[in-house]
Amino acid sequence: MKEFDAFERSIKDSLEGYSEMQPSKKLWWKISASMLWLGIFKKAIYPITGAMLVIIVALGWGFSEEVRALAKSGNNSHNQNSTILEESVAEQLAFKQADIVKVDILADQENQHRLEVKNDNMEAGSIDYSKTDNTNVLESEPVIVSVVETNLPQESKANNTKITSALASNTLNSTGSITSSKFEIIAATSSNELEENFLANNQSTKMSEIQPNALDAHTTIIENIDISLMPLFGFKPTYSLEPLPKVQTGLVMNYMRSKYSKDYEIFMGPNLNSAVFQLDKNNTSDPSLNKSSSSVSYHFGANINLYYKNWFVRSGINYSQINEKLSFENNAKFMDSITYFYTLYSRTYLETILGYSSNIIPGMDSIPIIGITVIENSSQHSFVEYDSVMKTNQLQYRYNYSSINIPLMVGRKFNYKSFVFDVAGGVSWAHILQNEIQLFDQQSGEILGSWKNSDKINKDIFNGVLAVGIGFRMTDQNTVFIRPEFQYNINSIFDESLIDKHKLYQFRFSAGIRYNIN
Amino acid sequence: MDSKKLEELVLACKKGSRKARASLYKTYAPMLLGICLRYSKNREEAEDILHEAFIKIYTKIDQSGRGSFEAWMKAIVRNESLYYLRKQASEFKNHNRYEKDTEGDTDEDEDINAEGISANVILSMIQALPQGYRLVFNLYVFEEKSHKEISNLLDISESTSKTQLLRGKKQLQKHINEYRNQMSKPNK
Repeated sequence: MKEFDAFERSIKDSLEGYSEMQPSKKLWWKISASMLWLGIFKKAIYPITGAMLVIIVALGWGFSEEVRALAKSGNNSHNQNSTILEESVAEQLAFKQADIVKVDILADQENQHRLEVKNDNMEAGSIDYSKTDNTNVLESEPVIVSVVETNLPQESKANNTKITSALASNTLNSTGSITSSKFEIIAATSSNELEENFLANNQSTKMSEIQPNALDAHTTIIENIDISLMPLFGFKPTYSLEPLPKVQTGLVMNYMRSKYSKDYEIFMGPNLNSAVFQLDKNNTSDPSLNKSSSSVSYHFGANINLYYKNWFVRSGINYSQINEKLSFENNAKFMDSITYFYTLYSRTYLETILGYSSNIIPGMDSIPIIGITVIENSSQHSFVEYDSVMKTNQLQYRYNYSSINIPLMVGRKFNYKSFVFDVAGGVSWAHILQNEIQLFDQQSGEILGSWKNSDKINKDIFNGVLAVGIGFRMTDQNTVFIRPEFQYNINSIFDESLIDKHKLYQFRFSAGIRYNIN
Repeated sequence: MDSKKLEELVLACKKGSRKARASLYKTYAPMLLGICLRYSKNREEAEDILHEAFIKIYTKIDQSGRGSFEAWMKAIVRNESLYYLRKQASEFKNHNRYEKDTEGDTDEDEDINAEGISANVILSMIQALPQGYRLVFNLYVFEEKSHKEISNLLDISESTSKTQLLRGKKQLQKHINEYRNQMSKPNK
């Protein structure tokens, strides 16, 4: 135990257990707001990360699929050649695993084609295709070209693949010029092991098939095909190697342009709002005070949709105006001290704001002018039924607010004839521009407070959004659409110090027009 | 609050109940604010510290362990106070937080004590101390740290810690004397 001198002890004792000081009310608001943000961030970070990953993978997958398809289809706008290696060529060929094999198809202006097969030293061997421009060759008739084995270096001869034969067929036009060529290279090996394999299976391996469709005889084309065999601890690859051909940049850009598009839309429509609110149970013992309300409001705005094929990201801005009335019944019990009977009053207040006083004193609250209709019912009960004094919260709320919403959604569209359907989900950020709140005493009907731009309403509200759209293409560029949308508040509208929970469920119905840029 | 209720409250807080958080706040905020006030120079600063401390309490409540929950919260508040003050380290340094001795130490007046003076007044006197004095005084008197521990916590020498404590006490005694004199004047 630490020893203190008399002075230290007296100071310590005087402040021991000091806890009279109440923190300011603002502090709890700040703490609860911070916790709310943290909660939203915590909840949102994983779904957002997951969604981003899915989008990235989906985009990447879609793109690579398309590039492959493009390579295979032999899109000819730029004399694109396609190359297919079949059936585990790598496994069956006797190249050293670390070798890099190159197959080069060369065509010069004299229509002399030469094919080269190279290992990583770039000197494995070559084949002279000088005969492939033979105009006497009938259409599609194969021309067998002998392998020039003498070109193979000694080392390669010993244990590497030899090209045993190759087929070439040309497609000729009416003037006898070559319009397309097809090369088929048959590969075998001189190594004992692979020879045995080939002989046993009685087969040869088609190493490469090159179809330079619509080959321009007067254009020089050089295609390189790289096959890399990875030396992974003696692992023998069994997969089919499908080398990616070089795709010209211009072609890719055209392709990309055709897959990416965007459109703009303007829309407006009504909102059907349904709110649930819940008073703090710490302050009331009457659970029936958890009520709901409904109201009708409107919105209008503009969006941009960025498409990648049928997937899209939607963002934009829209304005929304909401007028909500929260009227609820409240019960109060009064004990008659003489008869020991008590009366149960049930009152319903329906108030209408008629306007605000024009004489507003600077620094003071504005004074609303209200019209009140009170429907009161009462019934007497015996004191035996009176079990406890009910402490009720007698506040009634009414608020109006306008907000700017910025959505961020991801979705997919489906086309059917002239119709476009889309489904999208995401979040939206609503920033409250202005608000009005009134608080009423249920018993007396008095206005307890009325504020404009009150800090009791949160300035920023986050919503989850789900939308389904149906559009009809009027022209290539214009689409009219209708879109039902469901939106719900992630965080409460009111500050927690006022109402424990107040969340709005909004059913929006938008109608608009979409203009496609591409 | 009895231990069972507190246990239930902590459990509910761990589950993320807002009600439980509010209840925990209502119960302990005044006491924890008292600690913050001792370390800070004014209420605003103390509430800033308490804000950060409560965020930490709510987010780290899973790590509260088996010991006294109240002690755990106090430790968080104390650490948060130190952290807050460290953030102002450059400012402290500029203002020579741990001032060098420029005058000889005088003996303490053993007769002076805080008896009969309200906690609020004592608190305001502590708040009026220079930051270095206040920090060392708090750690030594209220957190019951030794000079060695204080020197480690604040990265100062033990002798500096001793000097700061002594100076803090002297200044407090001076304030108390002045206060008593003022209070006694109208009666004379």
